[in-house]
Amino acid sequence: MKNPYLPELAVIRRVKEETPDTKTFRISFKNGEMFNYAPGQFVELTVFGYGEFPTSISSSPLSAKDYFESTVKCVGNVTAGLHRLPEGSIIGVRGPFGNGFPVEEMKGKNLLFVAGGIGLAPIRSLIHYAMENRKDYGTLKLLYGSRSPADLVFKDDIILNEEEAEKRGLEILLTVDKGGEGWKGNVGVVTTLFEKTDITPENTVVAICGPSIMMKFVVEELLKRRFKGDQLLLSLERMMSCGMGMCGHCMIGSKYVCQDGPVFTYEETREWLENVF
Amino acid sequence: MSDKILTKENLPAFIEELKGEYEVIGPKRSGDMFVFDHIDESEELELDYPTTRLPPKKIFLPQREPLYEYEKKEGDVVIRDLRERWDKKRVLLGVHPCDIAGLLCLDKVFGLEYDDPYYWERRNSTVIIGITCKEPCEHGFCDAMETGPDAARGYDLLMTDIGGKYYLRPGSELGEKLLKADYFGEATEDDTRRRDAAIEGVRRKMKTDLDISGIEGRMKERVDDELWSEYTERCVLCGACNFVCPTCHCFTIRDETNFTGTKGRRVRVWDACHFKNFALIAGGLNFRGKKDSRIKHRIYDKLYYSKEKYGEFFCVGCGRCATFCPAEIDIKEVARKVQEA
Ligand SMILES: Cc1cc2nc3c(=O)[nH]c(=O)nc-3n(C[C@H](O)[C@H](O)[C@H](O)COP(=O)(O)OP(=O)(O)OC[C@H]3O[C@@H](n4cnc5c(N)ncnc54)[C@H](O)[C@@H]3O)c2cc1C
Ligand code: SF4
Ligand code: SF4
Ligand code: FES
Repeated sequence: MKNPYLPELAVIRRVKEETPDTKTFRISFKNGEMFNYAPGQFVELTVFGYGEFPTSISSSPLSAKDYFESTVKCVGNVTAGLHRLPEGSIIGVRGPFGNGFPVEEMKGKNLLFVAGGIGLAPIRSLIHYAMENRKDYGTLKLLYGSRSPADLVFKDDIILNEEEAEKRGLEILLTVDKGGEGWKGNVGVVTTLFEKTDITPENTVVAICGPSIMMKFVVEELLKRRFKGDQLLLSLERMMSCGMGMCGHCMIGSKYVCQDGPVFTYEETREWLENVF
Repeated sequence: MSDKILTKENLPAFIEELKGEYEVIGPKRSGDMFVFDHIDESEELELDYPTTRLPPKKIFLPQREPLYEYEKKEGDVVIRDLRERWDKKRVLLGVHPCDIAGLLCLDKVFGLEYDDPYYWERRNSTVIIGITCKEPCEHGFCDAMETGPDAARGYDLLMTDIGGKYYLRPGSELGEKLLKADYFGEATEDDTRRRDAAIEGVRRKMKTDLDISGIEGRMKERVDDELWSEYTERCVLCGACNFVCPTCHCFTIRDETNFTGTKGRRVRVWDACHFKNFALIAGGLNFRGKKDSRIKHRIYDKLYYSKEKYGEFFCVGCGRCATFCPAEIDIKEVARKVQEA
């Protein structure tokens, strides 16, 4: 019987500093194996000597098969341990886990992405996926907010590069809670961006990820704009230990975020006996 | 498969025979309680016990178990699986029907989409010999949960005391094979009648005043009901009900490392959803920060969520949570209240 608790050894091939507290790690399996995953899935990363934590895959499954990327914000013991590791270090990987975004069902739809802070990580995977399958999807629009200009992750990625993005048919709107020198863009929470562009429910699916409270306001705003609950895809975060439906940590009512999620439609969460946000 | 008879004088011989091939584990006295433990001498075995402190889950999902160890070596890492492998298979003797039902629940948790190799390594190396209860236990309500006093599956052998002798019913090919020795007699129709009568006798004595049918619907309706506030006030969040429950399976995985972080092991330990930080995430957001949400979560998991996810209630009516709760919260009473108009 294969042991799903044992991490596969992997090498950090590249570390990119995104913001003062967030880095993107490019990771390959030591044994050279390819990695198959879907946008929105996550892995459990082991930092030997520190522990293990769940983290989204932020790269597209299509661009390269011999590595994946994860973008991690340093918030505690294990993530700090990871941040200290130089390129070439050995870490452990379990997964991929979870359902991911329903990319097949989303075909033919206009896609709206709404992200806050590090919540852009799983959304980035989805955006790249959609750009690589451009003809399968309608318009692409990203609303992204962070605390300050310095906290915007993926600044060097095409998804935040207006010219490049436009070439690939992605419209970007950025906002920060608190502006600063040189910031000419919008200031305010991400929902303030809704006033700056056309957002209509027709043939549209929205993928949302960010802090719980932000997701709550985004959903409220979209419902006001006549979006239906089943058009809203939420990528949820919960405490996790196993990633396999056994430890019980990630439950929301009868749902296990690690297995049934992390992506749920807002519609299905309405049935739950515990609050989603 | 044919049922057999074992006279009580021959029980030691049967146990000796089992010990030849297996490590035997069964109920044993420990202070004023009973526990499942290794049986060295057949006299230690207490088959007429009311219930044990911990259910047999502790054998398959130990309170604390190392998963693997690792060592950093010259820029590389070596991992060694610490999965426990027994040199001798085991017989778990004297398991009550409620606890057998509890194991069947755990089988689902550890074998639904992923197989947990630590659990299955032990589970597949263990023969289950159940025994039906001679008397109802103080807090049990297996009759209401339909997990007792008889058992229909989940055992290799099922014993029933029919006065002076045990009635043995095989539930698997392996169980049947264990009944080959010449001290087993064929069960007569009369023996079978006495078996059924013994179990019916227990059922009559129990007559638990609880109708569980449709409770999942009532649970759903009453999620914001006043009735929960009483339990929220009384519960002291000790977690005892979680740990003694045959179906509670929550755990946390943590790393234990040496001072320099070059060597360490990953262990899993039982956890309890009643504990404050069970659903706390980095950044300080606690999805079950409020006490009532934690009290409710456990009871909903037993009487509603489990039904949704696994098609079965994860309360097998063993009564342990009521026995050990310092606040005298009895899930049977809770269920009754939920069912009241
Ligand atoms: C599905 C999913 C996807 C995620 N994707 C990302 C991502 O792309 N980038 C990113 O930076 N963060 C992500 N997170 C959050 C990330 O898991 C936590 O920030 C991280 O676990 C904190 O670990 P720590 O040891 O540094 O913090 P500590 O506070 O020291 O936490 C100790 C341990 O608690 C557990 N834990 C703590 N917080 C969480 C949490 N939020 N979720 C689950 N387990 C937790 C972990 O096992 C961790 O090892 C994701 C979480 C989930 C559930
Ligand atoms: S909830 Fe209580 S009565 Fe039900 S199986 Fe668990 S410990 Fe036994
Ligand atoms: S045993 Fe009783 S007091 Fe302790 S956590 Fe359970 S319900 Fe609360
Ligand atoms: S993370 Fe363990 S059950 Fe979901």
